[in-house]
Amino acid sequence: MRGLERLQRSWPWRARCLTALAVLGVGCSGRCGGTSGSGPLSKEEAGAIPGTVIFLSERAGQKDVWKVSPDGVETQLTRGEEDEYPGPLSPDGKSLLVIAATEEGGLHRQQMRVLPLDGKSPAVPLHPPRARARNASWAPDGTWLVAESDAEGFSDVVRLEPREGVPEVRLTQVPQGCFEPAVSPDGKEVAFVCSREGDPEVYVANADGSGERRLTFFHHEDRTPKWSPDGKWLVIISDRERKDRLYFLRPDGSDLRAVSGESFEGDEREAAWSPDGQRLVYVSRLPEGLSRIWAVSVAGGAPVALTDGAHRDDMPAWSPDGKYLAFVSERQGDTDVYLMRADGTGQTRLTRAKGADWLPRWAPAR
Amino acid sequence: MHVLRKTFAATAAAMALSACGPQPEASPDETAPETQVPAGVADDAARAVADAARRTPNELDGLFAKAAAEFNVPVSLLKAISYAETRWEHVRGEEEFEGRPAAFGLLALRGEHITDGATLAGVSADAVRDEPLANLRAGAALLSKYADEAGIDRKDLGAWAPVAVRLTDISDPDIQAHYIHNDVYSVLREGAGAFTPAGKVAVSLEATQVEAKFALPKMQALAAGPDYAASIWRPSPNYNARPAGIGQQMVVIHTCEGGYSGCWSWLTNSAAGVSAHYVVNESGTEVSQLVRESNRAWHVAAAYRSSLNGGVKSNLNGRSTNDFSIGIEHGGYASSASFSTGMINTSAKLTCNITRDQGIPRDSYHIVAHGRLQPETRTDPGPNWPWSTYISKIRSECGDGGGGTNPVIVVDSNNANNDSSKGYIAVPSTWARGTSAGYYGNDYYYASTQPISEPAVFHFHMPAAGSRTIQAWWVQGTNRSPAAPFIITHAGGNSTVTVNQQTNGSKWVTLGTYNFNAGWNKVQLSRWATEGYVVMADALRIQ
Repeated sequence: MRGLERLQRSWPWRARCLTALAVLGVGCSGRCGGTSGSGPLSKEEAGAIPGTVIFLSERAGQKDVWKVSPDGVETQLTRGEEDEYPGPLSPDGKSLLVIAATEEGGLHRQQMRVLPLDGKSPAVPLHPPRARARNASWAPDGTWLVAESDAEGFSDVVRLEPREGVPEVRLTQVPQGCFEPAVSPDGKEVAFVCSREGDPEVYVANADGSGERRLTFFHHEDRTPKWSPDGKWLVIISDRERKDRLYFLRPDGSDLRAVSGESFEGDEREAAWSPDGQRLVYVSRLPEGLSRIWAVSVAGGAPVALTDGAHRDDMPAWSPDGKYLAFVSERQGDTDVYLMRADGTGQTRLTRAKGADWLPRWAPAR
Repeated sequence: MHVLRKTFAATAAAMALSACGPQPEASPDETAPETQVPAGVADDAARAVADAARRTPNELDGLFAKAAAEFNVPVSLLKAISYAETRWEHVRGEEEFEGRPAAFGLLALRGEHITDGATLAGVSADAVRDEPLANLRAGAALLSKYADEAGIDRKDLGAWAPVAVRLTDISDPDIQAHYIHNDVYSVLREGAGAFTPAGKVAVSLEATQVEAKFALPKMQALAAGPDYAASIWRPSPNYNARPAGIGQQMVVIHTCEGGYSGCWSWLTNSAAGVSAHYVVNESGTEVSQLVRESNRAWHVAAAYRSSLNGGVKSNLNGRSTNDFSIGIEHGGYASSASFSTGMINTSAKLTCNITRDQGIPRDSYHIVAHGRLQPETRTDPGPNWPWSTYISKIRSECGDGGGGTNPVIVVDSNNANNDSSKGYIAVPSTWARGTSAGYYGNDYYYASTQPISEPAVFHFHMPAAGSRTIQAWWVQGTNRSPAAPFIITHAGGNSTVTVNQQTNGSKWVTLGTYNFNAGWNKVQLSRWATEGYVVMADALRIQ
């Protein structure tokens, strides 16, 4: 009997007991990496990490964008009264997409802006403020982006240019909404999600919105597509097993498989591809608001836990050289940005200000 | 059996169900489908017990006794108030409604109650917010002061009712009556218990015969909500018309940051200037409807400011989320360590009904936490809201491929995707798995055509006899059988339908409509067809 769910229910009772314990957040199903047996990164090692971490900080009350070098030197990048959220870096690493959120006349408003990181030039607004402007993704040549917009519908995928006053172009026109667009690494295609079937399904279309093809068919949610850097895979989230799991999927819709295989621990989220496209890190949700970071090889094999699951550790982001991860942890009470090596060793607190620091993104230059 | 023993018994039963012990297992062939226990039931029960225990990590009976004794307040009353407000969880609330201060601690004290209570108890306001004992002492000190002022007989538990109500911010006398009789004194009469995650008694409240000396709620017949029959209609004045041309497109999930009665009290008070369409109580036993779904409730963001709610902007760019959304408040706190299964189930049923009536897609883009209106969020709506479970339950309730009241059952070729209480597939080991694009779910099974039956069998469960249309899904290809034989077993016997699997791939193709008996039914895909091809079992839809 192949693929029979009831096979699982005929496991020996010990295995089922372990399953119950796993539900309670005990043990880790792959090899356990993490904090044991290694101290924090030395000043020298941290100082030699290329790049800088951009993050969101609430230390001033409102949300602002800051950056911090791996050896701990912090710089404030935005200081408006509104809330500013860091989005993706431009492909040349010289600008950051920022979403400014505010209330105007009692209405919630969001605006995407391109912020040059030279510290001199002002941010360039890409559109008038509106209720929904989020999930931007850059084309590899940096001349255009895609994002979610409610300018002409509930939510559609639009194409914008990183300049002021250029009208955005709708790539989808779906009354139920389209969401979470991602430009392919070669810039020729856009993956996104639409709810026109009554539930979210993943689609890929040409960069001008033509030639749309549907990749997923299932009556639950398929969403949040992210391209591997080599363009050979997408990773998506689906709740088809009535729990959120990450799945690898070919861009033609074939070869779907669960990222964590038989090692599911809790609802999975926040997948991030290593720069070489060989590995994926992701977060599993645990009871009591805790979460754990895992790494898995795209080639196969069981996932490895990078953090110990005793805290809320999430939002992993790869350093440009693929050797380190920035992440967010609440292990010392406050919400702060941390660093670790890509194997989970050397976990080091990077920000210390009172007030939450989260949403880390790497910029290649200091 | 007294209540604590009853709770103990329930816990023990759930622990036993969690299967941490040897249990007889039968192979699928030995188990009659009718006798199957739906997968997940035991896990759900164990999880519910563990979830509830997380809210009370420590033993609290001693703290309640200490605070009550010090200020000469009935310990049972202190426990009952704490149960009504927080289910004995030490909460750190947030300001959910502008003008209503956040609630803290086991007693959910707010605003002046925190500062006044701190003074009376001789501790700092921060201690009242942060420390369970200080919180209880501050509340007990306030109750003691109010008891003096009212001149009640402290030995008469029923006489404390008007004193207890002063610890809330409920001003409407009728809602006060609901709070006293249905929340505080009802738990005093019925008793309750809670456990720590280690299985120790966290709080025990014995049942007592007591009547609150407080006016009863008005004996008006409780009318059902106009849009949801399983709700109580408690109309709020805080609403206006939706702008023309914008339909309802979203359901926004909130937590009250307080107990249920105080929540609907606040949202029906015209001075508050806020509202929601619905409020669900902590255990899921009651839902109030406050605003008609066709009207615009004031539940999102700055729209709480009543002065802003008069002006309606109708252009798309000037719209407020209130214009096109339905708001549901839930008794409790975003910071809560868990949410009760009863509340999640009741809320899922309500949201299914809303989405069905309003044509809103049932997914996490259209059913969102308040925080999801921001570009990014870290609490969604509270780190322990069981989001994927909630969305799945809404879909299941609405019959989206998993039974429900308007049942559509999809049986996928991957059993991990099936709810085995409603449908599953059995595939002989000679069939191979394939993942060429266009499959339903994760993959499909195929086998070469041969003069042997060896079928892949789709099983589905009918709660009652009835007529259903059967549809099949496959991935087309030139090597597929032009006459793949599906054998449908129905009330009238077996019918064989052959389909050409070289065409019509990656969509639902109707095999026919048949009468099926109640219980387990099956559709088989046989290999017995002209040789030289393959037959493909991918998914079956029954509707």
